[in-house]
Amino acid sequence: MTTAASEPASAHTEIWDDLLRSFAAKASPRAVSFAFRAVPATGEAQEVPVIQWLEWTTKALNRLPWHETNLPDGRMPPKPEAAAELLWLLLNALEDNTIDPTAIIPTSSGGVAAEWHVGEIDLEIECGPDGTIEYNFAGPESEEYEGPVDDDLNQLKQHVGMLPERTR
Amino acid sequence: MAIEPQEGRLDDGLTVLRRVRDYEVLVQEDGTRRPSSQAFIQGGPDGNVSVYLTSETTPERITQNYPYTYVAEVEISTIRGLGLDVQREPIEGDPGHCNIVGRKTKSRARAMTRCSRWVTGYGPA
Repeated sequence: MTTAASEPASAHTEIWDDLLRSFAAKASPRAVSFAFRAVPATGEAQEVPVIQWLEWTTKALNRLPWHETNLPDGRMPPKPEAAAELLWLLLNALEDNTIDPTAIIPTSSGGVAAEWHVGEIDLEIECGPDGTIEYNFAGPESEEYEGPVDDDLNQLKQHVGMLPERTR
Repeated sequence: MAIEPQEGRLDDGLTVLRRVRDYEVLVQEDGTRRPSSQAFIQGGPDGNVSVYLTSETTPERITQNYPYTYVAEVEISTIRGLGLDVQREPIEGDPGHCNIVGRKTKSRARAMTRCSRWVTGYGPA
């Protein structure tokens, strides 16, 4: 995937500071330490096991057009709060051996989405700029769900469990 | 959401162009690329998705002010087959501008992207 226009390093640091502040306000200490491990630009890395999908996801987040304003068709740049919400959700719903998302993509309204398109499974999780979380799952037997994430994440976890595991 | 019919219905055989930002492009398992559903869902503040009649503009023209932007093409018959519609809404300097109207669910947006083809960059999807 082509990388968007480069930004000054200081701009990225600001974004990640915002993101991690938002994230730390909600996440568990374990999740925060994973996030800090995966974002070395924020300071001293901590010694925790690497979760490959998390490492992949944070790199993908870093490539989003955080500061771009000249986006076509009314698209808005993503908000750090939406990315923080997405990271929190993924840390709570995915297993360590879950396969990497196919893509991390900003939504046109300023949110951030994670998408998997693997075999006959399509899974798209979208965190909006206003804190809303919705997802869409389409499975191999034409089963489909589109709507909000349930509070205990059980339904989402079941659907995530249908993704193939990462092979090491 | 009911779709209001429009006078001067566009012909089913026409195609429309949609701008796709580089970060909205997915690499599929077979190595080909297609737009994410995000590229075909809720565009502007009104929730409509802007497209341009292929017969009335060019990919170069609609991307001239937008770097890192590619163009995908979809047939109007495909969009209508998903329960949506394409309605002309000319804007200044672009009489071929249209909106995809109707309830754009993820599955409908994904179906549109899977039926789309690249007309700039990335080659055939």
